[in-house]
Amino acid sequence: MYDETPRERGSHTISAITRIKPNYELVKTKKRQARPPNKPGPTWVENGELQRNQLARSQLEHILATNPAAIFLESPVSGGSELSSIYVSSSVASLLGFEAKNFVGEAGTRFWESRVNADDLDRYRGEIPILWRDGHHTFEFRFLHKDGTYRWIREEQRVTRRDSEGKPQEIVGYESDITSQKKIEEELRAARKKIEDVVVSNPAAIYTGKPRPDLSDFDTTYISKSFTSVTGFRPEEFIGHSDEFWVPRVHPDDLRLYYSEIPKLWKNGHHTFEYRFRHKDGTYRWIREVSTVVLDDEGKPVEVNGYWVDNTERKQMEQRLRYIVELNPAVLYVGKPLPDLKDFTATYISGNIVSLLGFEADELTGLTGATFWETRIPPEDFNKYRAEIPLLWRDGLHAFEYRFKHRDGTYRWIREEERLIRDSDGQLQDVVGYWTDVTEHKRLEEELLKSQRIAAIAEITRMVGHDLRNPLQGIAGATDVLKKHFGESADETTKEMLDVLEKDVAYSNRIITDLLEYSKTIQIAPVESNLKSIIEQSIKMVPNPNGIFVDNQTRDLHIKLDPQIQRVFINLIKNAYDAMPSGGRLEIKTEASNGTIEISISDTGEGIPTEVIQKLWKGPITTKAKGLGLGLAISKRIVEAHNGSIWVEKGSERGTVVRVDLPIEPHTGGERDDK
Amino acid sequence: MKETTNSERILVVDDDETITAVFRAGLKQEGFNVDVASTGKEAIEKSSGQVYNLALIDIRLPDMEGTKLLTEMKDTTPKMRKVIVTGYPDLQNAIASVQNGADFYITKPAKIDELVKVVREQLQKQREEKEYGEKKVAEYIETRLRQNPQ
Repeated sequence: MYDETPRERGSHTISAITRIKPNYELVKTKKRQARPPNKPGPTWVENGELQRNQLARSQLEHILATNPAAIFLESPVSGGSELSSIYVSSSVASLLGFEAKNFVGEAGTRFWESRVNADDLDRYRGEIPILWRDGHHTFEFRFLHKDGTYRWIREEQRVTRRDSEGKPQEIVGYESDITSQKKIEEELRAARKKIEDVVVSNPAAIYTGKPRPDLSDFDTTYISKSFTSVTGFRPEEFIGHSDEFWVPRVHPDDLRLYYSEIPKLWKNGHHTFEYRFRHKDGTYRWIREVSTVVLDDEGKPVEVNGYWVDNTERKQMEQRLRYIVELNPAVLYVGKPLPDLKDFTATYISGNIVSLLGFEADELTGLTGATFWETRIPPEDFNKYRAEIPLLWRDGLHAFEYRFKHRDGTYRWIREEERLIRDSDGQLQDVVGYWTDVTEHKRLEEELLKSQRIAAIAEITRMVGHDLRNPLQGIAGATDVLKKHFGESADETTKEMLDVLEKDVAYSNRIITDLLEYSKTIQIAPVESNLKSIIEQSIKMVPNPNGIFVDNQTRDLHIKLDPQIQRVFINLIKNAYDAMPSGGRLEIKTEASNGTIEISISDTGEGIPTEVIQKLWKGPITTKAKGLGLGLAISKRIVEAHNGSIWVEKGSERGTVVRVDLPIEPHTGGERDDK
Repeated sequence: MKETTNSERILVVDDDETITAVFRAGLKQEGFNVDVASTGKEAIEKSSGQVYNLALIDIRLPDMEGTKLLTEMKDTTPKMRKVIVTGYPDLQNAIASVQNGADFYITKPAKIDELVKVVREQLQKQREEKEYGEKKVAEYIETRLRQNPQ
């Protein structure tokens, strides 16, 4: 800043040097003046002018050397485009790290330039004309301190002397370090920027409002620019027009919610709610409104702050998710493991649980095994459940099955499958899973097991039946051979015993035949038949005991039937006769309706006790002295193979009515697998 | 008829000794010559060294199915009548038996009278076929003779 060479300077420069000569000495004296810190400077002696001057001068020296600011004297050079220092106070060393002499003269100016931040230097130079014009200016720039860090320097300058033409001749000024102020300023600016970002560039439309005196609503006083992207309107269009602008644009279905939310705001001091709002483009958007109330010292609402945000996309996603979750046949849930890992508790349960268990999601959330589930699950299943929980922690995935007592009191088989969710540290975070009703599945599973068992039994029956036929053949053959051998010469007892053998062989064989037939899958191949002739033939085939009147009212009905159906009628007629040992009346009637032929076979016999009716069709059952009692069971199977049904209509002392319903067009094939 | 069947030989094939004993006794009473085989293999051996007019074959033998035995004997004993005896009276067994060359099908337990009746019917058919065959041969020779008088 200083240029000591007198080129281009002329006389006034020399005089300036003369004038400031004492300052040079000041610089020099500073070196001599080394004294311990904290030692007080020369004292002010108010005695005599010279002494006072001398004292003042030493006082000045002290002030200049120790001032946190660096004081300088400059003159314009290069036609006023640059400044050059003539004097710089020694205090500059503590400010910039370099001795004052570094800054003096032209070399000083170059040195100074080399340390100033390039951007700031350009600005500095650009501002010099302002100094000339105003006679006063403050510069700010970053200076590279000797320690290598940039310091913000404030430099205030004043033109202290101009020539007769008004050209500046001398400038006095000081420099001070404003780095810390700058830092604060920058922080302040950053903070302000942040606030601006939050408010202006936030996708949410931020607002402030004044509560109305009657607290019926609030009127906005400020709305950020994002209002336009949320609603399509400019903030000015709304401010001050709360009612006529906002309310008519809220979806009519959401108005009640909207009004109900306002009192909550005053009551709770804040609220968050969502409603549909008609955008300027005419479409409804989901708006999420979040507001907070500012209260005065007396607790009266004085301001409302909040924001609106377009939540449409999220809402739609939420609705889609809700749709998937709520309409899912499975009930989805999220749970938290209890600290002891013996159980977990649901934190979220989808609403469709009510159809599964009869309980609402809210009722079950937060409940544990001990507080709820144990009361609805049979102990046998619950203990199994408890015992399996460690498998979930171990494998991370497990499926449980148990019976659950629905609210309606019935038991349902529930399948519960869950997966563990761990956080990045491997800590148990959530249990995610679902419940489904597997009652039907369980039933089928049990029936399958049962039918498998029955099939196994049937196979054994078939084998045993066959194996019994060989010894029977032996007995039958031997009896025949003996009969022939003795011929007429046999005595009465021999003859009688041989007859017994013969009869029992025949009876045993019938049992075997029944068993084999019962254990066989019934296959049907229906053919066009006349029901009337089938029944007439059946009546003929069963010997009619004395005293029974047969009233066959069967009509000519054409229906597709397998010839095996005749066994059903023979069986039923036989049973009816057996039920009327002392005579009676057998009535057979038919009725056609809705593709079904209804046949009723009634007798006036003893009737069937209710407890027997229930077991009637399962076979083997008999109330007769002889016979396996498989007749009805086989009959039922033949009828059901026709897709028909058979049941006892009445069981009382006044007789029995057996009903057989047969479809006119039955399916072809066999018994269904679940039979 | 009884008198005419005395020389006719019957083979009973069954591994159940009760059955072979009873069938043998019953058929002997009617004057038939009865032989017994307890396995399929034995039946094949016996029928190749001796002519039987008829065989009663159990559907299940220890070494092979009765239907298999039928197939095995089809070519070696084409004229022998073959009757299957079975404790499994079902349609599939009957069809398989007939397809494999059985002439008849009897279910256990059969009465001896019934058995004898079947045996006689089959032997009658056999005789008729033989006579028919002989007649055919005679007719053929006659025709040839007429065509070539030398």
